[in-house]
Amino acid sequence: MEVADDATLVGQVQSGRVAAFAQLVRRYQDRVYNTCRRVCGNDEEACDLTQETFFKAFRSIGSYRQKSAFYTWLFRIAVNLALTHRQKHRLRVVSQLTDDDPLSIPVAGSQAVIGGEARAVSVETRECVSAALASIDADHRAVLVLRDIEGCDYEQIAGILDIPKGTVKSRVHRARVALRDALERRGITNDERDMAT
Amino acid sequence: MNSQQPDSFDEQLSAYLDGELDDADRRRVEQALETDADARAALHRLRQTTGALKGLPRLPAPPSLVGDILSRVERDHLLNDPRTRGQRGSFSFRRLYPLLAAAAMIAIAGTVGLWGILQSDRTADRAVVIATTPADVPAADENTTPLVLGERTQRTAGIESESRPGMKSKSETAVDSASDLGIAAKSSSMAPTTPTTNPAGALNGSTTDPAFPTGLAASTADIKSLGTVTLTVQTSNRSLDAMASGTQAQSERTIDSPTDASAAFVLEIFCNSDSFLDHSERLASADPADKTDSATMTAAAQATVEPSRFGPTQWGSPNWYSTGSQRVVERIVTLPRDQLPAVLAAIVADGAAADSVTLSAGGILLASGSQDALQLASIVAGVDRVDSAGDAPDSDKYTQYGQTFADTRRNGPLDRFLQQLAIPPADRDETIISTAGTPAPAAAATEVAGTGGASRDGDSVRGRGARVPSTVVGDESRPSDAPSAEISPESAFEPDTTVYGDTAGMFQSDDANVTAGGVKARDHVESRIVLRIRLIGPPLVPPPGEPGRLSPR
Repeated sequence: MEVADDATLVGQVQSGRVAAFAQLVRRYQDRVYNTCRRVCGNDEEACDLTQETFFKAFRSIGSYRQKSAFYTWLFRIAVNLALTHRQKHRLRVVSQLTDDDPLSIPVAGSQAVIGGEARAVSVETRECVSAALASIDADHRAVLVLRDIEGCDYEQIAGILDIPKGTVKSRVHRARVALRDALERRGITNDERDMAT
Repeated sequence: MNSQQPDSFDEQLSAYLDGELDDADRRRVEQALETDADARAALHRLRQTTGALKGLPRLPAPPSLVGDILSRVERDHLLNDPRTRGQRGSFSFRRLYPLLAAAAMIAIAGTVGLWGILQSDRTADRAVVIATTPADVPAADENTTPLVLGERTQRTAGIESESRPGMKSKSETAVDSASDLGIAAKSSSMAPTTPTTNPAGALNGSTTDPAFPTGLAASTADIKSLGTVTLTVQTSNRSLDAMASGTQAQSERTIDSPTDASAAFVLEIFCNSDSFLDHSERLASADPADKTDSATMTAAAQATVEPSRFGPTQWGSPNWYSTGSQRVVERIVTLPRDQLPAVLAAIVADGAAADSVTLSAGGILLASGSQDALQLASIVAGVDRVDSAGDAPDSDKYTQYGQTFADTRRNGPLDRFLQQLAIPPADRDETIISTAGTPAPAAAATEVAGTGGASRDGDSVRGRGARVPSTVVGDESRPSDAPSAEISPESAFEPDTTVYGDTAGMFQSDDANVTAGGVKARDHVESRIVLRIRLIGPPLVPPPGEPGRLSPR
């Protein structure tokens, strides 16, 4: 069965065919959810944010002129919502970083290793990385999620965050430095990383 | 590393790692990496950091999320579709939105009336006016328009007139409105029907348009373009006790079908039966000696009938009619699509006399309460508006155990019934009996093998647990494990009639002499009529400049 591209589906939604929107939801819900989850750090809130993202997208789709990719437009909504939410609930989110939470702040054990590109890492190290990611500034976290988890290029990130491409470049770097520092604070040292690589 | 501009170079390294440098910058970075060990170390650390992030698992969305999103979107769409947004006269759909949204939310929470208490003698007269330009509504085709409701309204109007001399009854108002719409009463001129089985196994084995996306909440566009339109009219009789004593009757709906996700659009009208059926008329003429008080009936039922499988019933309550019954008949008709507005208008007109009305689409309850639902329905129908003066304030309230509740019907029979819907069809605790397409049998006395041992000498009775050999629709196939009971659909609804059984969990009757433990049960009757209208013809589109009105494309 032929799979309609985003632009086609968007056009159908704009003409009143809601079923087409369902396809868009199914196509992007995981990525939107994952992004929201990484940015806000909470499953339940990620669900709410994802739902809100698509709801806002649906309501605004009539004014979407497809000057940017639907993906970019959708993620702009998602990230803005997540960042706004994060600002509002910052204290609460920090307080939720308990030992039971995947985003809690464990100290890496001796087997913690971080591999190279896309290399699988241990569960324990994943938790350390998640915790480190959750601990850095939300703007930095967002840009890292978009770049290193979602794989957006700088152009897309600039569109999603509505910032110049040059700003993306510097922010990505600062975010990586911040994350590296956070990882080191959690016991993942350069030596261990060197061992891993 | 470039010590003069460390940040800038690090940024370049990061961008190099991401493949975001132009050719010139990339060459410069590569040259630095060849000669500068610090630069190589910095790149290595960056690579380690990005690798750590890329090693994180992708977190999938919870399975229920997509449904939640689509339900919300669908609800919003139906409430805000510009083509159904009221732009005529003084009515503005936008102005109604907060109210409708609140009603929808309440409904979704399961707290708003799909079942309720009917009051037998409502004191609030409601003047309902449907302002419609006749030319805007397609003329009814005598050969195809299933105007059963119009006919019934006409017939019962006389009843109301007699009971309230000098007053224009609600039904008469409805008839007037229907007449204004150019609707003729031609229930006997139904078009042939071609019911099809719903492979998705909707609860009631509904007919569906194959093109309709089952399982997906319907959109307004879907409603207008294709699909099966289900109009459900639920009625309830007054109890004989209440009629005799003049006290307020109480009843409770125990089954409903707005969760039928295969139905594109369900407008459900809940009203006193004297608006639609003549049950009460027949009951009222029954021998008073046949009537029993509720305490006697309750005692009899307690002694002989198991509590409802949907949960405990309100045994022992002095004002609770435990012998309630429900009868559901379904009529399947085929309707030219361009007549949908006229039919909906007729439904709306009749619904104006209803106690409560609910509107749902794709399994989502959109609005409950007469006015909200009627307003929505009128918009979809292309009717200008429905104005109601003095709508009964208690539409969404009911009384139980002497207390009045408003929209607090959690964990009631309906909720429990809805819970059944989450169970695979084969495991649901229900029986669906279909006589669709078969000639109606002559009325005959039939033993009913319900657990209460109810029997009848009338024409339509079924006991709890009765399993009737029949044409079973959809996935609702269940074994026949009890002696059969013949179903004789009410004449106006034959031959395409589907009867759902065992809804009240006890026994069922209409005007039959039903006994439970030797006590005649002529106490309380509910009837529900389901009109499934299979649309044919071109999709409906709003004419230019009239986004809220439908007409054939």
